[in-house]
Amino acid sequence: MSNDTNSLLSVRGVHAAAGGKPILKGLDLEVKPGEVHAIMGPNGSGKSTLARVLTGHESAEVTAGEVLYKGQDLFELAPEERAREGMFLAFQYPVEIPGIANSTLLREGLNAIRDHRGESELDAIDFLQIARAKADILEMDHAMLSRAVNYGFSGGEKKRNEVLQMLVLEPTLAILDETDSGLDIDALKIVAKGVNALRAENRSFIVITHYQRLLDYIVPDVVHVLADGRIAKSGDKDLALELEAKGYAWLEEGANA
Amino acid sequence: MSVATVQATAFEADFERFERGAGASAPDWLHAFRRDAMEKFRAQGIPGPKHEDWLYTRTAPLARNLLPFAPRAAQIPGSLAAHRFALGLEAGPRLVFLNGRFEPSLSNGEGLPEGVTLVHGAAMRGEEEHAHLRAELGQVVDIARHPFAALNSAFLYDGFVLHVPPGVVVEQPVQTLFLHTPVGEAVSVHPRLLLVAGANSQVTFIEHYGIDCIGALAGAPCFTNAVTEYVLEAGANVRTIRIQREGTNTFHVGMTAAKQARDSRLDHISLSLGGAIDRNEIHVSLDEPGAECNLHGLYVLGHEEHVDNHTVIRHQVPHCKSTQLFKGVLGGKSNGAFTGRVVVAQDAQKTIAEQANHNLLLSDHAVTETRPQLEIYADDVQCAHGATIGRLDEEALYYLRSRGVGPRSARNLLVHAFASEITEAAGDQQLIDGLEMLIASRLEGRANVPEEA
Ligand SMILES: Nc1ncnc2c1ncn2[C@@H]1O[C@H](COP(=O)(O)OP(=O)(O)O)[C@@H](O)[C@H]1O
Ligand SMILES: [Mg+2]
Repeated sequence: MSNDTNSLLSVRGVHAAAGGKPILKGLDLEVKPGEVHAIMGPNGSGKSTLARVLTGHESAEVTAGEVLYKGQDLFELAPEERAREGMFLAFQYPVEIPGIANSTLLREGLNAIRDHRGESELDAIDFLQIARAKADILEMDHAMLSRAVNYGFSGGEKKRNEVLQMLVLEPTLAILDETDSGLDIDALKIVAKGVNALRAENRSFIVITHYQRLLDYIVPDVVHVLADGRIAKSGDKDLALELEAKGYAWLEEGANA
Repeated sequence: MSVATVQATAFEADFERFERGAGASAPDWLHAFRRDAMEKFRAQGIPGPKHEDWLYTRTAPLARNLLPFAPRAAQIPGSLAAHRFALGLEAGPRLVFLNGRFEPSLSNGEGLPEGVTLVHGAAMRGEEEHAHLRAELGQVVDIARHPFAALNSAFLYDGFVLHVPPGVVVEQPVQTLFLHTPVGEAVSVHPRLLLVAGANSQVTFIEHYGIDCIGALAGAPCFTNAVTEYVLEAGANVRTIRIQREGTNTFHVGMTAAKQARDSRLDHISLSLGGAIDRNEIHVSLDEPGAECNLHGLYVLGHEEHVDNHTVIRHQVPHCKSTQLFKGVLGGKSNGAFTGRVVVAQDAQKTIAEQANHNLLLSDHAVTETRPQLEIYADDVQCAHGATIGRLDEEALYYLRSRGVGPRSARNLLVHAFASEITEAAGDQQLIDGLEMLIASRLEGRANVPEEA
């Protein structure tokens, strides 16, 4: 394991449990600025648990290890502080919140982040201009902004809405948890376009996916396989093709041997 | 000797003092009206803990705080002139009462269309030309069965009577504010309101019980015992908003009583934003076919506050509709109760009556009680009721926080979302914004201190 001080994110020997059951069992991961990491792995292997550990969901109970984000102890930060420091999670299952408009959530979030950075708050008009421009990138109807957060959205609309939020909040580290699941190829291309529009030297991505397909559009620097609570294998984008062809069984056998 | 008897006796002296003092200059009919009401109050006394309709409210603290009624000119605090009036509506007709007395310097009669008449203050008490009030007041509320309403009538001193003639549309909301200002001692007030909406008329009416803007009375108990009567003639369309935000240490008993003729429609919102005891009673009688009433209620409580919503809707005839949606947000050790009685008379076929009470508990120590009482004597009716108790959605909180929103703001956003179904019933965006603002200031713990200009 490298202890590269240039890393944006260093996950070191993290053990975590969910519902009392150990899920992550000594996970290491280094993400440098500008990199795109893909994490693949069988269902139930702990990919979402990793995302929850990183964003501070209380159901993911960290039992050992440490995570440094921008050089600071991540576990010292509350979920909103992580967000204000530039962390963003596109949820695998976005939460429906009736009664709160998308634009309200986004404006509150963006202004909290701006405030944290010492920038002035955006008024409603300036904010709407930004939000509408981002919606255009994703070919989303502006009316989506005034609808209640994810409420009554189709699966595809929810995923696209997560990407919209990411574009507006412009994170430093974006974690996408199966944002491609359930999308048809056109929707998938639009989501990839949104991600690629954000790619920059100082911005990193962790793309959790089940399917190699997404990685044709969002080309990763590194591909990891998560199995039995650890990174079982890492490689370049060809690893994703190999996994697609062979499945995960060979890895698990290897790990158990 | 029961609490009731003690208090009824204590009130005799106060009543006689009032009749000879502040209330002395009144026409004979008004003196007779008051004495008759006092008689009815005496016969009932203050309802005790076993009274069927008062199960959720201990009246002992109320009885202890039945303070003397002493209306008098109040010193108007300088800051009050700069007070931003209720719901941010600077313009439009506005009546302000200070300590139970009409205050002309803060009121504004402009904006009422031709033909609309407004009687208040001394005119209500004195002039012979308003003798018709004798017949009009008390035609909706039954003071023989409601001791606090009887008490209100016994101390009838000020308030107003608004007549909207047939066919007239009052564009701007008519708002009234009842404010308490420091007068050196705690007071009780008995505001009395009557709105007569003529056939096919239309009006929005806001009734706002607040506290002075400097919050100087916070700490001193005050007792408000209000009665509001609505008469909706055929086809009248009336929207009413009742806001109670007198503060944590205050006692409030509010009686809203309406009767509705053919095809009339009443949309009512009541907002209870805190008080030691707040009894919010609403009685509606749907007297002719086609009448519809929609009651919305929101109560946002903390500390050891208590609100008791008590509604009675009588479907007297076929083809009427009533809906009720009451929502509570309960923090601290607060207690929110809702009793909804719907009485469907034997002939009242094709009645639609819906009622729902949803509560959001913000603390482990808050208590909520719901009691639907359906008395249905007709067989072809559509009646439904539902009640839920929930907590803030933890996943939604986490989701909001993961976008950078702090925990307090996230909580407030979710409470607003919960409340929005009620505030949106105000229809007009300016009113909705005004209500939202009041809720926001309550959530920020500034319920007693209205926003300065
Ligand atoms: N809150 C929870 N309570 C109990 N078990 C959980 C909880 N969250 C996740 N799990 C379990 O943890 C394991 C890993 O889940 P998850 O991280 O969602 O996997 P993946 O995203 O890789 O499909 C699964 O067996 C799942 O059932
Ligand atoms: Mg998952």
